[in-house]
Amino acid sequence: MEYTPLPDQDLVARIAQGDREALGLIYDRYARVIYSVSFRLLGDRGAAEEITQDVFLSLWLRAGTYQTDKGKFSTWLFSIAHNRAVDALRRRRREGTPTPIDTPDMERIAANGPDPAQQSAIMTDRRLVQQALVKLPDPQREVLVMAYYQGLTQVEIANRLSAPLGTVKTRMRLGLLKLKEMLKSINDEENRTQ
Amino acid sequence: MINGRRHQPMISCEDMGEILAPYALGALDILDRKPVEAHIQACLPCAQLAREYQEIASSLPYGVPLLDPPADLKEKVMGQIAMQPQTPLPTTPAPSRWQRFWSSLDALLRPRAVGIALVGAVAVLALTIWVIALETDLNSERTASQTLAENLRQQQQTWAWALLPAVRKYTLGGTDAAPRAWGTMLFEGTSQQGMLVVADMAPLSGDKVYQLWLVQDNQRTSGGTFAVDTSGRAQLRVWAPQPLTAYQSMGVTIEPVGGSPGPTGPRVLRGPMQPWTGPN
Repeated sequence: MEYTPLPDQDLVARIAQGDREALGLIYDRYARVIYSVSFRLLGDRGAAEEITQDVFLSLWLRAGTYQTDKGKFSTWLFSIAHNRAVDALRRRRREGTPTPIDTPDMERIAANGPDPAQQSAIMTDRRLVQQALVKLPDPQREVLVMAYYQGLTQVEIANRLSAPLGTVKTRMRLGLLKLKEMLKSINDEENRTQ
Repeated sequence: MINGRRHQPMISCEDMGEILAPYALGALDILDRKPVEAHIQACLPCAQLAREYQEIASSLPYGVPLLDPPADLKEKVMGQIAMQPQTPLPTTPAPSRWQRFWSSLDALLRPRAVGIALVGAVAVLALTIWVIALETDLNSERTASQTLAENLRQQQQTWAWALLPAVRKYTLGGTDAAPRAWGTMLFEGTSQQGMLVVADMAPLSGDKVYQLWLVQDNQRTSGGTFAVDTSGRAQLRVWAPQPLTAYQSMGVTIEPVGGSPGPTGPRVLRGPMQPWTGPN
């Protein structure tokens, strides 16, 4: 059976049936992104590796709980990964453990990854997201970055910005809505010029 | 939680509108996520809104510089799952039973009259319903076991949190009405949120609950209601209107289900809001 072109939801259904090959393909599609986000939050490769491993083990055990009518698979998987990584980061902060900073030598993208089409799609998504983030109003981008990429809670963000909690929540909401609008706008523009 | 029912304050849909963006961005702490998730489970419009925010937030992972994971990580993952056997759902459980049944039914009905075929069709329908029910049961059992594993993981996280030195621990002792009972209130710094862990308390009849009271200047504020499991233990997430350090004492009484505006039943636990100094 040719698995590579199968959409995520079909692969997840196979994982729920105990199909390891399907899990391997989902790993190829998403491990790099999950590892990178975990590294961004936790600042060291060992912890990022641990989170990535934990997420895929969790997927293996919980694939049957994913419901296609409740959103995209990647949203579900990234949400699990992000929550695990921020929980680990906050545990460290509570324990007063300093966050190690591993500086990546360089951005390493596997040109000959297991699924070149997928890698190309990831690069496109990355470019779109970076362009959209740049176009967000500063106060909205700031809270999105502090929350998602730095793992701060809404209360911590409010304290750091000396802003009321309600203002932070509003900026997050408006920031997400604006991000959606920007992504669509950039995507439409690129499609028109192609 | 420790098998006891936990009664969490309800979040209104209006409040959810404010909190879903922070939720989608991972900006709620682990304990604040629970009531949001409970609301989403029960409220379709809020679940839809949560999905929309989460879909947008799921683009953010693509914004970070991409790094290759270690080359051997995939092998490690695959090795790990090989040691974690799933309880796989049968790939096609219905067809195998169906096919077996159909083969025998087909052989039986082929030479007979249409009326018999109709009877057979009813039998097929009944069997199909039975097979679907069987499959649903299997799915339910599997989901239950996954939920149990997830609960265990969350319990471990809660206890890991509780053992941190920065977490304040205030103790409650049993009264004459429940001399063996004890409890501990755990919270961080000047937080308004905490967790009450109790043990050795008597399970109550279905129309009664335990209710926590936070006392400040002789004013009693409800900290929530809870029931204990058959071993007498429970865990209650507490949201107080003021930092927990602002209260002088706390107590637990037995009240009718739903709780009371002020204590009416016997007090079973009490304690000053003073740090726990460790086991005697």
